Amino acid sequence: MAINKLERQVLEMIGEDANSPDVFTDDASGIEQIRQSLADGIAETVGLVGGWVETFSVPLVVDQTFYRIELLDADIGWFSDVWNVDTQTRLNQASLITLNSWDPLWMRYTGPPTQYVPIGTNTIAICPKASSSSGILELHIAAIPHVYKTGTDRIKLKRTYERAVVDYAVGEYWASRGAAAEATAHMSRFAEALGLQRTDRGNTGRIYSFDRVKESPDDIRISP
Amino acid sequence: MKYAEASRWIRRFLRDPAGNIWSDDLIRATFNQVQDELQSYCGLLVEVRAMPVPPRSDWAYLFEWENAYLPAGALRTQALRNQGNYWAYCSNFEVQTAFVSNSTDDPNDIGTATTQPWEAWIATPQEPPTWQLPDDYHEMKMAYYDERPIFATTRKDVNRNDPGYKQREGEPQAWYMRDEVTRQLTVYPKPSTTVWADETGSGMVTSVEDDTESSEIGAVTRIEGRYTSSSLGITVDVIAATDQMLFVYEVVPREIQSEDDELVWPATMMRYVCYRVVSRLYGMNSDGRIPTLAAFWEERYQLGLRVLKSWVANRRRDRLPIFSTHKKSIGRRKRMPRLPDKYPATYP
Repeated sequence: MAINKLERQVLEMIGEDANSPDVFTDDASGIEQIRQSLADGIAETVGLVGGWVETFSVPLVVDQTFYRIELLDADIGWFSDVWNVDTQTRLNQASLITLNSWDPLWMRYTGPPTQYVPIGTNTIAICPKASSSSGILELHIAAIPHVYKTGTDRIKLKRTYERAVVDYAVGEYWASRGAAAEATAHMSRFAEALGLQRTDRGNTGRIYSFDRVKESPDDIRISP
Repeated sequence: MKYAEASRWIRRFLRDPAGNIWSDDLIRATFNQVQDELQSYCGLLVEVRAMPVPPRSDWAYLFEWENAYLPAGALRTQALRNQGNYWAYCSNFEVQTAFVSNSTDDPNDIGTATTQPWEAWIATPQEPPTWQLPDDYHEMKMAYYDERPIFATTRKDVNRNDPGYKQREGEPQAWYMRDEVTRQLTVYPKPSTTVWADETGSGMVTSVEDDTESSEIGAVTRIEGRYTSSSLGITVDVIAATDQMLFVYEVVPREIQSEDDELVWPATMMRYVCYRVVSRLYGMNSDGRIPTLAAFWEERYQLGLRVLKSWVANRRRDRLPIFSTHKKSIGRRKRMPRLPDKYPATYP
């Protein structure tokens, strides 16, 4: 069984022989923890920066406003574009509040859809609804991939972030070994690569509290 | 995605695969607590559900053969006990038999008892009919009746403006709830007309095609599966709204009771729940207490929250910003009914 280059990097960074691993052996169950960590890192990165957009064609159904959509091998991140194929026009994103404000009867209109509303994690509403079951909606979905299955599966990640994801997996490896300091160091690198590092680095564990200055009831002091 | 997968992940990072320190019950309880916290914080899980408006019968009878003995010209009749596959409840215990699926459910739950279709929505005597919202209801975002928005109000306001609200009929304008626990929703005024979208049988309503009922969602009917396509790696369900009550609401994540339970979270977000569970468990006063690891996983959870914030912002990325001057009001000006400008005719 082949391992991919990210898995190889992780094995090398945790002191395994990548050609003949001792603990994380070269089979589906042996490499599972590393693969899971890498997949989580990829999902988190893609969920943050986008980068992997899938296009799906959804047939319109007569008189239906709400469509619940499930991707089979990914989670829906967000809709980056929605197109009406028949009219070759782009749908504008709106919200339920906007549409209610525009016209409370918006849900009763039929015609070529011109607006859409994403709801929750997997539902989309269109306005106006289709007058017949004939049109096609083209959804461009920024997708967040599920765990890849084999070492030869495509890594759905921009190359710039590959090293960050390796750090993510190495950090989780150290955490699974109980080494919090090493885990924190690697996770910090991951966070820095994604622009998530906090400015109050090193304050982990500090407990903030408020107390009032008795002399002046309006003054509130924060400590430390 | 099943809870078993999350449980396995948590045990791996607790380094307690055999459960020598943390029991399954404790992990599950912590998981339930944390997923509630995460949903309260970010409100990402939103559900859209349609519930039919049940028809109201002028005459109800128990057996079909009684139909022949109804008064001449009786309209809107229904046999409560038919030869089909649905039930008519006359006593509370019957509901327990039908809906309680295992012995762990609370036997003191009085459930539902109906003799009229209206009452299937758990009516209280002398009160307008109510809709039982699903178990996972948390907070209403928007409610529609027959594809028109209806707005939140309180029973107090309704009563103040219309002392006869219990008898008032018409197209619903507003909704209110008596409390958050029973999750019984009432619309004002009560609908004067109802439509079964797709009924089978003749002379009486026996069942509605494509609707499913379960103990989880009580008497609420979920409509789905009208159109499904598994091509191109995507599954699409539509949610019918015509002639229905339609609710868009934030959900409270389903309580996990066993390893086989399905998680409501997308796989990506489930990790954030796990991070905080591990942090909590490492921080507990047990043999496995390790404050440094608790702090690490808490920090990891906080990092996840920042990712979720970005994710929420990304979802609105496709929205077109509209610039305007500060004097322009946002949205439509409220339109009030008014007479034409030249009415009534006046002399200068």
